Order: sequence, then structure tokens, then C-alpha cells
Amino acid sequence: MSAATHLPAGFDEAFDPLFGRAFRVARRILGDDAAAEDVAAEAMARAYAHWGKIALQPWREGWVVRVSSNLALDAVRKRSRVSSGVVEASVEDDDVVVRLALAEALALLPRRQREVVVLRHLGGLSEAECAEALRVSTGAVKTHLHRGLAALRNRLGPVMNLEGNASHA
Amino acid sequence: MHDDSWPVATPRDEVLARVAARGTRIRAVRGALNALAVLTVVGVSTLGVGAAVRAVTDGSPATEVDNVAIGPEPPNVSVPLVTGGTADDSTSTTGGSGSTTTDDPADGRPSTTSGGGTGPGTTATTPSSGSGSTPGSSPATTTPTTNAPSSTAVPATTTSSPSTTVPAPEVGNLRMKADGVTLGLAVCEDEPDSVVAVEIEGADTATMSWNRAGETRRVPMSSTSTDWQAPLGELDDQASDVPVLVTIEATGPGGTTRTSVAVEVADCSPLPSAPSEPGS
Repeated sequence: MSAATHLPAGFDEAFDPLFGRAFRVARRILGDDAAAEDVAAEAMARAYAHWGKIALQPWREGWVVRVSSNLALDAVRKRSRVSSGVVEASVEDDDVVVRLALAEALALLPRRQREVVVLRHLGGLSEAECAEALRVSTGAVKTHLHRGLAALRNRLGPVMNLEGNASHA
Repeated sequence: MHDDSWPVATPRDEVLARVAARGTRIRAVRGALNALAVLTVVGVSTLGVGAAVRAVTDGSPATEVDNVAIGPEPPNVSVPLVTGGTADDSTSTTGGSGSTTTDDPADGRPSTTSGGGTGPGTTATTPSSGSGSTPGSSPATTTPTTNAPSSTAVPATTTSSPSTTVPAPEVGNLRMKADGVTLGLAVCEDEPDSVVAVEIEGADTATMSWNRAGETRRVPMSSTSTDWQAPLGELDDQASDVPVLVTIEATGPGGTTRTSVAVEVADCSPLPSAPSEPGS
């Protein structure tokens, strides 16, 4: 491939696992393979643009997952803004309702709580990996996770169970 | 090997090529915007100095010259932005220079003082023959500009301006807050919680505007006493590391003061505290 000749060192080798992570977290948020692919590609493009800084960092996977989740949440919000009738039109589609509700509830969380919840439950990172990605202690991860999940449950009520959704999505 | 776990229908190489093209474009845009932001700040600074020099050399009536020449020491506009919180080492910085424009309440004429390497003090003692003020604001004079009546309503110069009794708002150092916790970022794109806070004295209202990639946004600032703040909001769909030109405009009984500062935008991630080491 011609593009590969211009790739920064190490990008080609890291591309598959990073893209896979980015794609999976985006799909969990968006529930749409095509849109998730676009989001993952954009996240990887940003990783490409910043590869010199993140290439050798242990938190680069967390970086990509965060960017991907942010882009996916943004895409959900834009989607609901562009077509405000989507929610009503797809009321019967529980999955879409849950995803929209989740995206909106996540967006309302304080940043750090949102990041921890996304990395842990949507990105599938362990608590230790979350701590490394965010450069905080695992204790802080647990605290933010606990508060974030409590806030989500409070907002979402019976609509969903995040862990259940994250595990099956 | 790649195809074993490739998760999407689009061939890997095709996606990779797309990613590389987009990534290259992001880098190019980021570089261009970086340069543009620097040029903007430098240009604003140079404009005031250039006008002063022109007025001295050819006697042309440059309306901004008076204020540059007789202007007060500018408010501290070359301010570092610091992120709030103490969670980790912050690398947030700002550009090294800025500019301040003060609207004169008497004649509404903006006067520009510039931050950076050459301050008003450089031109303050330069005689400027014939560089009278804007009609109606003060009589034309051939005296050195340091003795000319000032139309700038900044506290340091109000004593020389008979028409000005109330000092213009004074804008202090800008600070970044981010949910009480720092990520070590100046501003993080996709970050909805970033807040710019600044201390302003003598202001009734204040707005914050910022420009990035040609798009300008403006929000009113809220205040408690002299502490004003406004959310910077998300900087989505932009490449990281592209500076944002943030302008604070404070209006009070003494006039309007504008302060512009280039704010660096860091990656949406914790930044390394030390140069990368080989072998992750």
C-alpha cells in the first residue's frame, strides 16, 4: 500500500489493535457499524496526527479510546440535534432509546467521571488500565467510577443497567 | 494476519490509507492555524508600533498613535493560563504575547496597546509632531505625545485626561479551570467543562469570544464580585494543538477593555511529563 510508506514509525503495527478498540467503543455508543467505523477512523487519524507524542506512551490505547468515545458521543448528540424526531420515531427501538439516553446521561457527567465510565465500561479497560490512561491512582478511578455510575443510575433510572448494556453491546 | 481480527467490512488497507490522508491533513491544518495564530498576535502587536513609527517619520495622522505613544502601561496581557486542580503536572501554556484594546468612553475610539517585546514605553517618549488625536477627542498638538491629553481611560492615565474620571475595566490574569481537576491540559478539545476565569475590576458586563479555525464564538461571562468566568466549551472537529485566540471584552462605566490571549490546545489526553522513552 502506498500510504504505508509514509506512515510514522510504529503506526502500522499499532493500527489494528488501536482501531479495534476505537471501533468497539464507538459501536457500543452508536450501535451502528458504519458510523462506528467512521468514528474509529477519525480517532485513528487524530492518533496519526499526534503519533509523535503518543506512540511510545503506555496510555496511548486509553487516549485513542477516549478520543473515539468523545467523537461517538458527539456524533450521537449531533445526530439527535439534526433530527429531533429521531427519538420519537424510534421509541419502539429500545436499543436506540437506551443508547441515546446513555449518551445524553454520559454527556452530563463531570468530565473525569465520564472518562472513567467510558474507559471502564465501554472501552473495556481494567481499572489499572484506566488509571494508567488517565494518570490517576486506581483509587481515584474507583471513586470516579462509583460516583459516575451512581449518577447514571440516578438519571437513567430503570431505563437501563449500564454494566449490563456495556457487557452485551 | 491483519485480516484475522479486522472488525469492519472495509478492507484494512483502505481504512489505513484514509486514516493516513486525514491524519496528514489534520497535521497540516494544525500547523497552518498555529502559524496563523502567531501571526495574528504578532501582527496586532506590530500594528501599533508600526503606526507610531509611521507617524514619527512622515507625520501622517495615525489615529492609534496617540494612544500607543501616550498609552499607559498595558494591563498584564501576556498571561500564562493555568489549569485548575492539582491532580498532575500541568503543561498548559499560552502564547507569549497578547494585545489589549481599550475603547475610550469619551469618543468611542479604540486605543490599542500591545503586549510582547515592544511595549508602549518604547514609544512613549517619542515626539510625534502633528499626530493629533481623532477629531473631537482632543485638540491637535505639536507637543510631544507624552504631554498630549490622553483619551485612554485606563487608571494609570486618567489623571492626564480631563474628560475621563472613571477608570476603564482592568482585566487580570486569565486562568483555566476544568472541573476542579487538571488533566495537564491548557484546553482539551471535546472538553465541555473547561472554564476561563479572570479577575476584572470596574466592569459591569463582560463577554468572552474565541476564534479557532475561522469560527468565532462569543459567550457572556458570569461574575461573582470581580471574578468572571465563562465556559470555553468543546472544540470539537478541530485538530488538537491549535491555539485558540481568546478575547475578553469588559465594559464598565469607564469604557471597554479588550484583552486577547492565544491559548494553546493540548491533546485530549494526559501529556507526558517527560520526553518519550523508547520501548513502550
